[in-house]
Amino acid sequence: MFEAWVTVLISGLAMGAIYALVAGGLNLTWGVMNVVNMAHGVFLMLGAYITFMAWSYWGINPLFTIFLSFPILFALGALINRFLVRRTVGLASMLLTFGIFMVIENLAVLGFGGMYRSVRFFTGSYNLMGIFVSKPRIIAAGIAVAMSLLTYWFLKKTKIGVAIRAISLDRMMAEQCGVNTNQICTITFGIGAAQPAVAGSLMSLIFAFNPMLGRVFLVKAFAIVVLGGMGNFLGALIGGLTIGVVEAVIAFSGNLHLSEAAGFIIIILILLLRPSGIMGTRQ
Amino acid sequence: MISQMQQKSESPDTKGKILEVRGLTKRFGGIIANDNIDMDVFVGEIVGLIGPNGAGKSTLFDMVAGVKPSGSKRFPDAGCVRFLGHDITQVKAHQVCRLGLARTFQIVRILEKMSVLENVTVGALCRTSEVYEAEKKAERICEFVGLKDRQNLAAGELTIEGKKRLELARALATEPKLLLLDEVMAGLNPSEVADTLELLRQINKQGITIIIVEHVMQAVMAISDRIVVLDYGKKIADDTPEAVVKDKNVIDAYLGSEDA
Amino acid sequence: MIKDVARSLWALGWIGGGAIAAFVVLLLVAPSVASPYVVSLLMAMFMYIVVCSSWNIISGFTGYVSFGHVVFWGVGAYVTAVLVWKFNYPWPLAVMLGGVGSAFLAAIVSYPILKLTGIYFAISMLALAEAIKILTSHFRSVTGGGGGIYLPPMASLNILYLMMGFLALAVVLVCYSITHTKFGRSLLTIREDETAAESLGINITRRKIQALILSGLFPGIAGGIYVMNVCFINPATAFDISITVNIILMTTFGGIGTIIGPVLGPVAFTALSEFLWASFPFLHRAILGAILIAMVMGMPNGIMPFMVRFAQWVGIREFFSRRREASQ
Repeated sequence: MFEAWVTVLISGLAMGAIYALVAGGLNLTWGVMNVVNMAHGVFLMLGAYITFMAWSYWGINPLFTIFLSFPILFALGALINRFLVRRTVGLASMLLTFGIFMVIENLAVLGFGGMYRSVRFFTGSYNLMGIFVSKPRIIAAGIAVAMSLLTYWFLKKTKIGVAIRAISLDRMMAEQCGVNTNQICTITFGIGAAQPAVAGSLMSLIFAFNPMLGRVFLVKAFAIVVLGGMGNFLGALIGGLTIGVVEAVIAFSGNLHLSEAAGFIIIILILLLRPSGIMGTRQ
Repeated sequence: MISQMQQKSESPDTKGKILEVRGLTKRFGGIIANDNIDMDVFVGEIVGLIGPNGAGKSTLFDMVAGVKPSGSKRFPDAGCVRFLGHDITQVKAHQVCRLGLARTFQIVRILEKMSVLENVTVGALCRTSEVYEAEKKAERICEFVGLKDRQNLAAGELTIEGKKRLELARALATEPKLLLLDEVMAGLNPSEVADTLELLRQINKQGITIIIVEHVMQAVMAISDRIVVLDYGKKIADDTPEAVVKDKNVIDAYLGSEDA
Repeated sequence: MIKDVARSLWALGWIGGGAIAAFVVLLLVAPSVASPYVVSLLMAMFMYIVVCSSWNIISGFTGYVSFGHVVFWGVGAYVTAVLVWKFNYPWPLAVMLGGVGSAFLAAIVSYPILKLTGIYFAISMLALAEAIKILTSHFRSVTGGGGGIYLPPMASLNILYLMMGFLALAVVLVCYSITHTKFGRSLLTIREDETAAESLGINITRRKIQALILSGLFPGIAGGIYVMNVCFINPATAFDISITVNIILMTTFGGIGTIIGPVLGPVAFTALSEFLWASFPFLHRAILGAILIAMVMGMPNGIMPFMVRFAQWVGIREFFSRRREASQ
């Protein structure tokens, strides 16, 4: 029994690491630009499809396709921001990005068809001291963690990263200090689109997906961000891991359905009891 | 319980006091905005509340009126507030208003998109449930304060003098017994100040007690029966205007400088 | 309040009364002259008028924009379906109880959820809808689970169409009259400035809860009527986020916070949808999405300001003007 629970825990943490990556991007756009990106889910879905197509048509190793999905979605995000999102905030941004979600999802259904796809590149499991963990999950999680750390380093140490954090604290002051907020915001939104795309690429290794993948992650991503605290990077990480584990535990001990509801119920509970999230200090 | 409070107009042991503040303390994080303040206000008075910026005057108003200051919990950390003999320390703003205590805000909170008349009507609706009646009453009040000619303008289109007057009118429409005015003269030129003073005197003659926070010194001195001075959250003086200007603590607090 | 309602209805005058009479006449006549397809279409349009006007109460009048309003419609549909299918209730009663069920849900969640504002409130309502969707799938013994509930046809299209039409008329009149009552004024004040509202004696907590319950009641009834017509409901349909988006889209187009906005929007979009379905069946959602984007960028206040300007240009501005001018 003990092994079973440990397997569940590790499995949950692995998914959690990927969730954290998903949430990280949303966290950026929400915390920095006050934009609620409802299209977040479809960016994830597009990442998954890029990996799938690169692998099935050109035989590219899925791990390398990350270097494809990141720039492609970064460019897409930057364009969307430059021409559309930049002009709106708050609730208006919610509606706007929802429109973008509708357009992209519809085009994806037309372009890719509705059937489920997956990328069976890694199969089997690793044996860690008698505990079996799914290979694709662990590898994906590892990359997700690396990506999160990379983003963290970027935000802390690079000039652009510092500018991004400055804007998230006080936009006007940042402008006074010579930060080109428009440009930085475009970059931020680009990252905010590219990160979930990478997460999507990783997810394509783990389970099957179709164009509706975006919907599933729409609210789940919010749950993670809300849980961890808006604008707080470490919070998104903790939030992601928590939800990954909670889902795995509930799915294992009870009901698959309820584990999906877990995310939403968590949002509601957190918003009511501690709106600033576990780590957050912003209102 | 609230309806009982509304029926009685005065409790026997108040000795003409309309407001009693005892030991009121309010902290925001490390800052003590109100520090153990004691204050009495008697029926029919006009009390001026002055002090340097940041002394805690608006916070005191918030605590008395049951308003939630931004970024903080609604009620004081210690102390109590009694209005007409009843404890209103933990009472919410809307109930405080119904009991007969109205306030205006330092930065006006008028409803910009609604008309002047609609704004005052909202105040009048505190005492009546018919919009038609409330509108009639609102018209009378607009006339009383001198807004009749502008009553159909959108509130956002008024000058600062008009907006301050609108907030006053709206508060009057709730039929208060005690009116808390927060910097109602800020931004007005001398003749507008004089007009407002006259209006306040008329309001006071109708039996409404007034506490007025103000930085415009001549105005406060001219109209107050009594002045309370706050500095760094503490009450440092509570006396007639003539005595307060000579009080050493008060002079030190202001570093000898006076506004206007 | 009754006097205010009566006065506001009287103020409708000849034009308003005539419009209502004309609507009722058309409503009654349509089934005899139009095909069942058109009747269905009209019914769908009326349904959106109901849910859009209801959404407008909490989102437009009170300023608490809900991104999960479909939950009330879905709960109403499910309560009706379950009462008819499992407990053999007579369907008209079940439809009314659908409304009671959704209002009840609104009542339970209102106190906690209305403590949130802005984006947080919007997302919580969204999360609520999703959570209820999943819980509905879960309790399959009561709700038939993910497969849904099939009902035998029990009510004729025409009867349901009439019910929906009268419900739409009722809701619009309710919205119209509440703006003239103390309740409506309180909501509008809350929308503009909650702190000011409180300092003027408005019990904002109670009013917000009342607004949410009222805005949840009618969609519940509409959901009940819907399920009696379509004879099938499942969680994916009942709590489809697209419905929420449609509501927001239509009402924003027509003009959020106005009385006529939630009527204009569904009328325009029903016509538009039909056209889109006919011409671009596979790009339906993409086009709606593009319209949503265009609207947010170009027409944040809906179509009304443009219509007002157009009417002014044509010279009939008195007809649309609502605010009494300063020239008085």
